[in-house]
Amino acid sequence: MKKSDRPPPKARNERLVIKELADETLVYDEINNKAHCLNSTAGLVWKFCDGRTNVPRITRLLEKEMNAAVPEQWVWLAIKQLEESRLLEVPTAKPEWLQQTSRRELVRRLGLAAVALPLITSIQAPVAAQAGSCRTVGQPCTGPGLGNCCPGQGLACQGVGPTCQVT
Amino acid sequence: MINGNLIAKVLENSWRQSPLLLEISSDELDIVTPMLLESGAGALGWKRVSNSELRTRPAALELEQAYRLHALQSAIHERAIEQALNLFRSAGVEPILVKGWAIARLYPEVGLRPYGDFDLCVAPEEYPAARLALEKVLNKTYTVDLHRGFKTLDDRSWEELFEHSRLLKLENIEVRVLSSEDHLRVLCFHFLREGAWRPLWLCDIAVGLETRPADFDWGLFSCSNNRRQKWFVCAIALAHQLLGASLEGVPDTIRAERLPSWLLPAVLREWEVRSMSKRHSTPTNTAWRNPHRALKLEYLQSHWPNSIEATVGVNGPFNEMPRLPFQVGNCAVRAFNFLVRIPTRVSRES
Repeated sequence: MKKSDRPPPKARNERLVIKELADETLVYDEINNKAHCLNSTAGLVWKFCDGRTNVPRITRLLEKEMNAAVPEQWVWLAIKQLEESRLLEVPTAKPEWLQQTSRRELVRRLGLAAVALPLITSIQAPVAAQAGSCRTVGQPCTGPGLGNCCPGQGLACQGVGPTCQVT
Repeated sequence: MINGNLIAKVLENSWRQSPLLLEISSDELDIVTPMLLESGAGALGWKRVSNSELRTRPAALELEQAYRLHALQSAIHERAIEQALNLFRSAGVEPILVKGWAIARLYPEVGLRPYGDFDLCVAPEEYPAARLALEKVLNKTYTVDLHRGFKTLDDRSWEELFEHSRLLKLENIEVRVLSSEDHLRVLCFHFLREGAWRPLWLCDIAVGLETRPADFDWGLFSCSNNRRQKWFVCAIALAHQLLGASLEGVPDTIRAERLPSWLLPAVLREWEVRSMSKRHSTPTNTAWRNPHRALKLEYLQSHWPNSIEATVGVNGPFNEMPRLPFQVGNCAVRAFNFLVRIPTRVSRES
């Protein structure tokens, strides 16, 4: 497929709860029950994915925002991660080289500049909070179902985190 | 009470826009992090650590995750508050939101102060309608702790508290909350009634104190019952002595209050041993089903009331008298209430 044939990427906006922090964008996906943290670069790329703006144009917009030269590879890397996190409406046809290049590979090549590479990570309840006694309402828990929620209180492990919630 | 002091050190001024630089070792951070996370104060811990050299330590990164989680949950909860309020108002009920968002909004960032459920107080005569409206909703994504009036939170009447309440804007809806004076008093009472087990609640008192409006009426805050007044004043004094809350502009009668010698150590001990947290994991409403488990020493220890909870539970004074009689008395009252409810529980479950 030629570059010009690839439809522009479009951000998903249905059933998402979004919280903007100073340098990150937090997203809770209500459909897939997952929470994500987008660093500033990934957040900007996602913002520019309006279904009308192609990757070269997104790259130029990113350069303007970051006030620095940005390789188009970065935008493709962000799009790959956005797709894997199901934050785009439909999968976008991507260049072949992207299949063979991981973020780790780019980090290795870029060195210190890698700090600006787009990054999307999962937000999960901290492990330390899960140790010890069973979890009660609102506390982080392990996995779906009962997880380690205290029995006999009508709790299930679900939602963002996830946390023990009354069913 | 080394760990209790450590928690206090980390949370000192943590609610401020620019708290002082935190000076603890990485080992101390490793010790205190699980306690902060378990008590819901992880995000505040991150606020203190984020400007320090410890910010890249694994323990600090866990606190940062807690901060992100709470920030995202706050966005979800705000949507849910709108749904809950629309539900009640369409049933002709006007609730007052206490704690939760009502206090979280006073922090510099909402993500600093987590909350799971919503505490909504309704007029006693509206309680049945409110309960019915709540039960009709299927697949609720939120949990409402519905209160009949304020009887478990304050000794003032619904009418008095409603009269001073106000409406605050939250996105597309107006939320009714208590006046600053009434809310601070409720926060003080709640902290002590629960045995002061959660450091986050003392941070709430500190925030309520430091963000009070210029026209804050100390007369409205104060209680005519001297015993209760002493409780609330001691709670404010604890926020000052343990967490560095400012007493600027606070009346001399309150600033001059001396804490009874047992109180501050009792708070620090509770933060360290977290017996209330253990108690919540083994609620008494399940004890009658597993009596052999309920008679184990560990279970009994976690249900033994601490001196703060015991004193408030029997409406006792905060003075220098030994606390054991209050603990025994409170235990007897709770045991009696538990036994009296067993037949009801049995018939409900059979």
